[in-house]
Amino acid sequence: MSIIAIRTVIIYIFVIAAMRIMGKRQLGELQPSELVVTLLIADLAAVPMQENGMPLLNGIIPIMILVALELLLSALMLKLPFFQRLIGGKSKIIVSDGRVDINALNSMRMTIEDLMEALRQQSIFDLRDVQYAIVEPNGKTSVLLKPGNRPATCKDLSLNTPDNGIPMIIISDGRISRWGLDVCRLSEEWVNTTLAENNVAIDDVFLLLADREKTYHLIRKEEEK
Amino acid sequence: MKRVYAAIGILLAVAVLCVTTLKFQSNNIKELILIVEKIEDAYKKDDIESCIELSYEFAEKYKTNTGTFPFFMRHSDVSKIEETIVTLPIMLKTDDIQHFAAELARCKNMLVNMADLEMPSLGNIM
Repeated sequence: MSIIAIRTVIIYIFVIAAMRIMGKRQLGELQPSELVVTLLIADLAAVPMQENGMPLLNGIIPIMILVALELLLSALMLKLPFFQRLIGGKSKIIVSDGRVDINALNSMRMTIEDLMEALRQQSIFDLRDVQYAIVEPNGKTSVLLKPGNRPATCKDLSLNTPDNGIPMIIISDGRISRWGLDVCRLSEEWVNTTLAENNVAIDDVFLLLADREKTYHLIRKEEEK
Repeated sequence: MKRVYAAIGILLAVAVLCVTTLKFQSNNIKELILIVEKIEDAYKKDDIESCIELSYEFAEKYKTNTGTFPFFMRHSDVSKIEETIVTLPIMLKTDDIQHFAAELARCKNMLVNMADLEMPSLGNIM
C-alpha cells in the first residue's frame, strides 16, 4: 500500500513537471498533437501507479520521450508553416459573407446543428447576424458579426476613454502582491497612504484592486464576512 | 528556444540511460551465465561438492548482480529466475541429481532470455 502511495506521489510530481515543461498552451486549447500527447501521458502515468511489479521508469521514460517530441514538434511547427498545417491542421471558413459554406461544413463533418450550437455558445442565436464563422484547428468556432450587429465601441461613439491599464490585485487577504504593484507602477508607499486614508490595517484588508491611474477598490475582511 | 534545448537534453538523457542499462544488464547476466557454465562443467565431472559451492555462489551473485534490475525490468521477470536458483543447492544436497540438471538448463535459458528481453531487436520492438 505504502509503495503505491509513494509511486503515485512520484508520478504526480513527474506529470506536473512534464505539463509545465510543455508550456501553458498545453493546459488551455489543445491542438490535435497536444491532445494525443496529453491522453497518452495520462494513460502512461496510470499503469506504473497501479502496478507495483512494474518499474517506475517504464512510465517515466515514455513520458519524457513524449514531452521531448512534443517540444521538438511545436518548435518545428513554429519554424515551418507547412509542418504547422500538416500536424495542426488549418482554420476553415464555414460562413463567408453571411453565407454558409455547405462543402466546408461537410469536409469538417459538421452539421448545421453543430454550427448553430457553436454560435449559441457565443450568444448568437440568428445565423443571419453572422458575417464570418471560422473553425479553428483546436475545434473552436470564431465568429465575426455583420457590421450592424456588432456591439458599439467607444470609437464608434467617438468617446474618449482613458486607458487606466488592467486593475490588478494589490492586496489579497492581507498580503501585498509585488507583481500587482509592478504592473500598475505603484509603490508600497502609495499602498500605506491609501490604507491610512481608509483607516484600515493591512491585515484587515481582504482585497485591494488598483490600476495605473491609482483608482482603487478596497474590500475589508469584515465586509466580506 | 529554451524548451527545444530541454527537449534535446531529455532525449539525450533517455538515450544515455537506455544504453547504460542495456550494457549494465548484459554484463551482469554474462557473469551469471559464466557461473552456470562452471556449474555445468563441475556437474559433468561428477564434482558434486564444487556444484553445491558454485550453486550457493550463483545464488549470492544473482542477488547482487540483479539488485538494480527492478529499476528497469518487471519485478516478476527478475524474481522468476531467483525462485529456480535457490532450489539448486538443495537438490544437490538431497541427491536430486536428475532434476538438478534440468533446473540448471532452465536457469541458463531464462538468463539468456532475460539478456535478450531488453535488446532493441526488431522482434522485441514489434
